[in-house]
Amino acid sequence: MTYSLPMGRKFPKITIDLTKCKVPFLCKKCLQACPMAVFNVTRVMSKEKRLEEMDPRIDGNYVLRAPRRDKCTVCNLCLDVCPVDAIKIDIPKQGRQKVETESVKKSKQEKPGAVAQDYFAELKKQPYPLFIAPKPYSFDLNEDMVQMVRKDFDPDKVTNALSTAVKGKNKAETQKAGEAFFKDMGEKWMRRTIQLGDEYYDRTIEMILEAVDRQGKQFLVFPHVLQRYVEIAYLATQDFLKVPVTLNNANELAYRIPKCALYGRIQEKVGEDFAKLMTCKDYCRSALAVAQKQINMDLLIDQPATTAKEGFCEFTMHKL
Amino acid sequence: MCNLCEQFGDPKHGNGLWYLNPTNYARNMYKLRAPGEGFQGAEAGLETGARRGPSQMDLLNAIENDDYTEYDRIRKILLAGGQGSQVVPLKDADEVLELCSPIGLIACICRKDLRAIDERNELEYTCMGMGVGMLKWERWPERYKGGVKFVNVDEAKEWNHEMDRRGFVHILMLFGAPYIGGFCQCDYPDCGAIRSAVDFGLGPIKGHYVAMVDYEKCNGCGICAQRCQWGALKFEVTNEKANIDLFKCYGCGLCQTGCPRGAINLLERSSVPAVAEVWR
Repeated sequence: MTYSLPMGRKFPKITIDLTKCKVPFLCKKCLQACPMAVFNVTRVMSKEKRLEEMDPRIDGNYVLRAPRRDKCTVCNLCLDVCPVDAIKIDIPKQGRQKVETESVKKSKQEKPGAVAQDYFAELKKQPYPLFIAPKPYSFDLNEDMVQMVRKDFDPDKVTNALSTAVKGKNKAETQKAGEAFFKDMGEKWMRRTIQLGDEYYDRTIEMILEAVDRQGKQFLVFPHVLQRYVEIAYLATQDFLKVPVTLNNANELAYRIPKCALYGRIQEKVGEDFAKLMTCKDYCRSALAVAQKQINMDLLIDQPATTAKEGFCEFTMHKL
Repeated sequence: MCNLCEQFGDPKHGNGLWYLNPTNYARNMYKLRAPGEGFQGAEAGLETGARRGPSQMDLLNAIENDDYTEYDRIRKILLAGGQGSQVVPLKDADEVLELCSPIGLIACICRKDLRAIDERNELEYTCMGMGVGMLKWERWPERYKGGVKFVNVDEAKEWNHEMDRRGFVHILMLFGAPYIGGFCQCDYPDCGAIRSAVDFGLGPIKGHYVAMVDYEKCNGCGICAQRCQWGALKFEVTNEKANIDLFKCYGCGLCQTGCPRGAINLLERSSVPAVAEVWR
């Protein structure tokens, strides 16, 4: 269905005297009265102040506008309720006829004495609960924490340790040594992440831990607490700036690692053949096992895609 | 198939419906910032992101000036920009809530702007924010006022059913395609989305269903006529039964959930040839 308004139709002109209507947020009588919700009260916003809270009790922070004047029928209910006589409605000439009804005449009359008393002074005395941030905080990860994890588990450092571990061994032995190395290293990696992650809180994790359901339980532990550990661990050791999370809901968490930095280093330093064995998957798997133990939840952890085969690693965790 | 399904649907999930593809709800909780990088896009503030380009007020001016070229130009821009929301019936809404985490109840933005209800009113917490964006909602203190009430999946479903009983339409909101970030509970004329749709033919795209009356079961009680927010369902006086204009129907399913006799069926939009590709 294509919808169109008749072209050339003139809508009522609604002018709002902002010198009279100073703090519309506290009053809003016209918004309540208007049958077609023609008015709205919006914040006056500058680009610099967009992340700040504005007190609606202060003059000029909020303004009254009439964005939907196409629906105005000039019923003048707003004029009746306006305590400061700030609204004027002018009905334009429609076709050949200029409408001059009683209601139009009324809209042009001044309300005597309406402006004289300071109507808003009383309203401003009422308390309005402002949201005040409990403390200065950041929603992002702590930079120092990320650097600390990176210092110990940089892909270069891990690969160097690996090449010493597998040096001078035959093929079967290398695989075994690689698996054992990565299993141990992965556990260390996640333990360090958890230790630092719990030490350096940010507002995002606080929000999760503050969320409690009606039975008094924290219910966002899966997937979000686990997701946070995973994100810290990978952001600190990979080259990307955000972890490609493909699923996160109450039952599942899944993410991908495209162009794994560690896999690349192994290819370079230890060799293509060794990298193809994907012994490094034990690194991520054992790390996830440690994180699972930390949140104490039964999960089915799977790896449907590997870098050697598909070109990216994918890990899925399903809540049992 | 609507535009959104073609782009973001997955045939493996929910018959290819884009909003039943769980990937569209997933997002990272954190990102590292390059040195000197500030907030950009939606992160920079909801209002600053949304108010770019012409508005519907410019559309009204074009109509008054009888300038059809300008009207057409603005309308096309608004049509393209409004591809970010879709009407979803209750039965699909239940499935949607299974796919995202966390879910938080927040104060409705439209009703705060257009009606004198704000976060101090208990009834104001109708709308749901979905996904990890809710964890950072506090960053915009104006919008955060009153806080976010996090609910689990069962509570969210219960709330949705309660909203349906009260008569609100459920509209899914995209926050940067394909990420789905909100679930609004809307009615006319308080809600910006439904107003755009009914007054200008802009706003949310129609749902994947249309409602049809089963004339044998309908007894003409008229309850459904009170629930339609789109002006599509009327009480037909001649035969004393409900009458639905399928071209106006958005497929929200409110008439169906409200009907005490089960006389209204929600059909797949694709099964009705004339409206199969009518999305606005």
